[in-house]
Amino acid sequence: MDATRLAGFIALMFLGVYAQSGKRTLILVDNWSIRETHSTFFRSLRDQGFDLTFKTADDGNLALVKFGEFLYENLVIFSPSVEDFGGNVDVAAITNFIDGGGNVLVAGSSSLGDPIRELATECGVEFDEENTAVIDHLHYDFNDEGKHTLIVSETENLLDAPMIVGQKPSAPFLFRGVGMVADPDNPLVMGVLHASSTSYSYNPDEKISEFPHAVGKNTLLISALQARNNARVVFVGSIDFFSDQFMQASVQNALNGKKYEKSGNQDLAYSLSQWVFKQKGVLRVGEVKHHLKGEKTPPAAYTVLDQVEYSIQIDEYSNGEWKPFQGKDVQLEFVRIDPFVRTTLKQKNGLLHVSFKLPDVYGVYQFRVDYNRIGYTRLFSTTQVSVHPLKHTQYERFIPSAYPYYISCFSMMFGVVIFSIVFLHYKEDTKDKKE
Amino acid sequence: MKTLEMANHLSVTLLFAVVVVGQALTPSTFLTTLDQNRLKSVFEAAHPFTDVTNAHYGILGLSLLGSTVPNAQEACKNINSNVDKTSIASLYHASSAAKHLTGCKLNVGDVQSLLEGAIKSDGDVVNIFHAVFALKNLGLKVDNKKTLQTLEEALKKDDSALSYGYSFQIAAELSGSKFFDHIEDVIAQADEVDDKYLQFEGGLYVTSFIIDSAYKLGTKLNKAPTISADKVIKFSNYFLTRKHIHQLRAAAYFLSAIKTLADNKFHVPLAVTLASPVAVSKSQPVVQVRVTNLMGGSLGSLKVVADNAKNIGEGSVVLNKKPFTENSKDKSLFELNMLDSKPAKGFYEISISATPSKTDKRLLGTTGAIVKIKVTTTVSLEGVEIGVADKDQTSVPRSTNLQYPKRSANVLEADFHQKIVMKFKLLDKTTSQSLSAHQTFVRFTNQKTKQEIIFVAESDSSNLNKFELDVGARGKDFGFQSGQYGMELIIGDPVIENPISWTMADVKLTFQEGQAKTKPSTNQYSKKPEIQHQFNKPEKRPPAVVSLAFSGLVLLPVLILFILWIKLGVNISNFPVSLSAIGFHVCLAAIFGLYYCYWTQLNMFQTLRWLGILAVPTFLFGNRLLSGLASKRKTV
Repeated sequence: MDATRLAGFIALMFLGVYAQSGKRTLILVDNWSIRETHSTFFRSLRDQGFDLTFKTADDGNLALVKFGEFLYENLVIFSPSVEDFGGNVDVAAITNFIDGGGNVLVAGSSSLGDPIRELATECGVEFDEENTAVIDHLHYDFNDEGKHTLIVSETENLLDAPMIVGQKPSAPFLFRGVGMVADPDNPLVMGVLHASSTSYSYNPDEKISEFPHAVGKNTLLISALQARNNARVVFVGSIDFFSDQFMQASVQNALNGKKYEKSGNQDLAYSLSQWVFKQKGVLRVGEVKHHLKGEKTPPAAYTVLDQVEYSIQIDEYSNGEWKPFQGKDVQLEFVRIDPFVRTTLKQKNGLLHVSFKLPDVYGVYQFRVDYNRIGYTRLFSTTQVSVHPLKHTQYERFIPSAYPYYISCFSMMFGVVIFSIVFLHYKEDTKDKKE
Repeated sequence: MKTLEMANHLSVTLLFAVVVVGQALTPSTFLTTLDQNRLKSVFEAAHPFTDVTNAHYGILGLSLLGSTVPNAQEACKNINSNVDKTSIASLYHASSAAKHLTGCKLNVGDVQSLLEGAIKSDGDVVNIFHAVFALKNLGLKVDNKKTLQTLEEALKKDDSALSYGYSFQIAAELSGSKFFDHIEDVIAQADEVDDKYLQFEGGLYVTSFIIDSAYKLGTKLNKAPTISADKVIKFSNYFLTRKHIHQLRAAAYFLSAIKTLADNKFHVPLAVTLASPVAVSKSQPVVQVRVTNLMGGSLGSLKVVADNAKNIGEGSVVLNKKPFTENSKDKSLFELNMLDSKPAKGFYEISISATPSKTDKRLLGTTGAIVKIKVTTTVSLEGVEIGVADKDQTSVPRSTNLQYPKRSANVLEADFHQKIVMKFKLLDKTTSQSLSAHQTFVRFTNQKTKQEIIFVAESDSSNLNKFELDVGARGKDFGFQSGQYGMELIIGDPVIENPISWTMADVKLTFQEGQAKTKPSTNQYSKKPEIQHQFNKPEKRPPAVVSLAFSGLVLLPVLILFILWIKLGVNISNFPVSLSAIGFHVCLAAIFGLYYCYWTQLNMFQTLRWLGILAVPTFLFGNRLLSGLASKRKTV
């Protein structure tokens, strides 16, 4: 019985690297001064408990893998202008790292090297050419140096996904760097922060002779990707976005004069780092239970039209610990090639629970929970069960329309019993006849 | 001869390169009040100074800024309770922190021998540094001569730039003139970045510490440290790029170095900072520069001259040797009306030199300071025409004139056989000349889906901008979504003061039917629609009355049987009271009973088992009963 039950369970869990251990972080820099100019960001990472290793991007001993194992869970590439990575690292190694579940945060700038561009293309993001910048003649900061490339990005340009970008920041963001566009055929790329309608990406010192690589809202300033293996990658077009200077700077739109004491960069950078390094938005599946209503253990097989109870334990990683997931939109599908039933699970004692009636079609089914929400890791759990048709005894025995048949049968049987008694033991009343 | 000439050439170009490089070096920013306040908050964040190292740097920074330490008594108490009396570094930091706190006394008992023991020639220079300063801070005795000798020996083994920095500090404290000669060698170790910055390996802390120490030693010996003027400026430039520093230690020494460079007897680099906005326009024609030391302090009375202003790109020079006037309220602020010399719009580099009215040899970077500005202009939109024309017709389309910023009153309609034609010209308001802008975009926004499509309106040689939208051919860009679109003209350029974003008209576009993509746009991240299984509906059944009536009819034969039997008066008194007779009939009835059970609940195998059990007694009883009956009949 146990064996068959075990065989009936095929539960697949696509959970990335467990977040608790995902703290080893390699930071690649162009030169050491970034440690000083971006110290606030690095300190916030350290305060979150990340184990930071700084290396220059052309370090000859660079390696992501040693003895077949990844040395780091997270990679920060703050070396936009690198032309060749050092050591064993190249674009293929980094894509391998992502395929292996590693998380990558990449910052670009107007002088973007080829490896970063290639890496972005692999991830469905296309950076504009070298020496181009996002230009916005209608939303630039008061401290702009004249080319209108220090742009003020309003908070409404942010993706509506609190899990990735945090609670809506109160101040706009400062951005100076290169623009990118998302590959429209890649459904996994999300535009986290896009430019305003009046912006475009072009070389500020050249006349526009061809259609710009990115115009208007298509211009992405920050994009994010969550691969199918839940590895997360974030591209930010501006390395200055993370600098101490931008994080502490005041923001003033040069045209309408609206001023904010502090830019929203710090909050957004913090939220992005939390998300990209899987400190939040990570789900895992615990125990999956299903059984007939009123019972405790699952049967060998269900029969059509049974009332079944299903419950699944889902945990969410937040603030360093696993807590029961509070989502109200988790759906259970009962699937035989196509879903026959799709219903929303309800919270019950930290478990997600539902009770439903099996369909009247027999076959091999799966209980499937496929939870894919923006900002969360994809959660996929299936449990296979078979559903039998009704046995002959389980059908309706006495159909009113067929009463004449039943009655004729039973009266026949009754008749045989009575008649056999009368026939065998009948005593002819001979005396009476003689009399 | 020829080679000589070439060599000459080369040296001239080299000289020229040096001059050019030298020109752009003067720092273009200083430590503003805003920056100082930010640094102050960095130092205050170290409060309540539970760690002596942080206490040292935090209190040092605050005292350098001239601000009071919050809760000085509590800080003093914290330092006293946290100092590790066996660690030289801890003693150094605690004593240095206590020194900067007024009325704070560090009680560490007798540590003289411990600290003196650390001054040994085979130890690290940093230990000697800590020990010497801890002794000095605690008011204990230091043997100058012996210490300097030991230090010299220690430096032989530990000869990093930073160690020399420590030794300069010690030498400054103990008047060790020997070490002064090392300054030049140490400075030579600094790395140059971008021909503009000089820094030591190790970053801001190391660089600022060494420079600060070198000047301290120079001040003590009253000799100018042997650092060339351009190197001082390059160091200054490097420091100022790091003014957003957030690390406590580096921030404290950064501030110390900047303060030293702002006021010492030998070298004071000046900073020429643009104080007005980058854009110079009719409404704001004055360029303001602030000439200060690195801390933003005034340098006394100065004569500031704009040597020239060069258009970047074109290279034309618009002004020559024009003096700035001193602002009446702010002595360090100098003004120049840029538009007096009628510059064309564009980016300019103003090369500025400043001469003090009293000769001051300390000042560095007095010539060739560069300030970048741009001259902007306002533009007007003229001759805006918009119309719809047939694609294959070459006749002049009917078009309407529009006046910025009014929106066209009627909605334009265009289908896939037509094209929208729009023309406009940009005029410089000051010169009334036509010009072209960097950004001349036309944006269509679908009023329902808010999807936007942007096109570039190209300009010809006479700066006439023309935009044509072939509705049929461009259908793909619009996703073949027919409907009403807002048409917006966006004009922008770095030198245009009034960028334009003008919704000029509403257009109704009709695309070829059937080409619209039918791909449903499902959001993969959204909740899916619920599915309720549709159970098979039971078939409709005939009314029960019919079956009941027939059930009655089917029962009739049994009734008739009984009625007839009663009439006939059957008697079964022949029934032999024997086990076999009763058994046989009971078994027979039981078999039929089993058939009933088979119908309602049992399966075939269970039924066959029961039937097998019942069959045996039925057979035996039946056999006995029938043979009994037969023999009885014979006897009768």
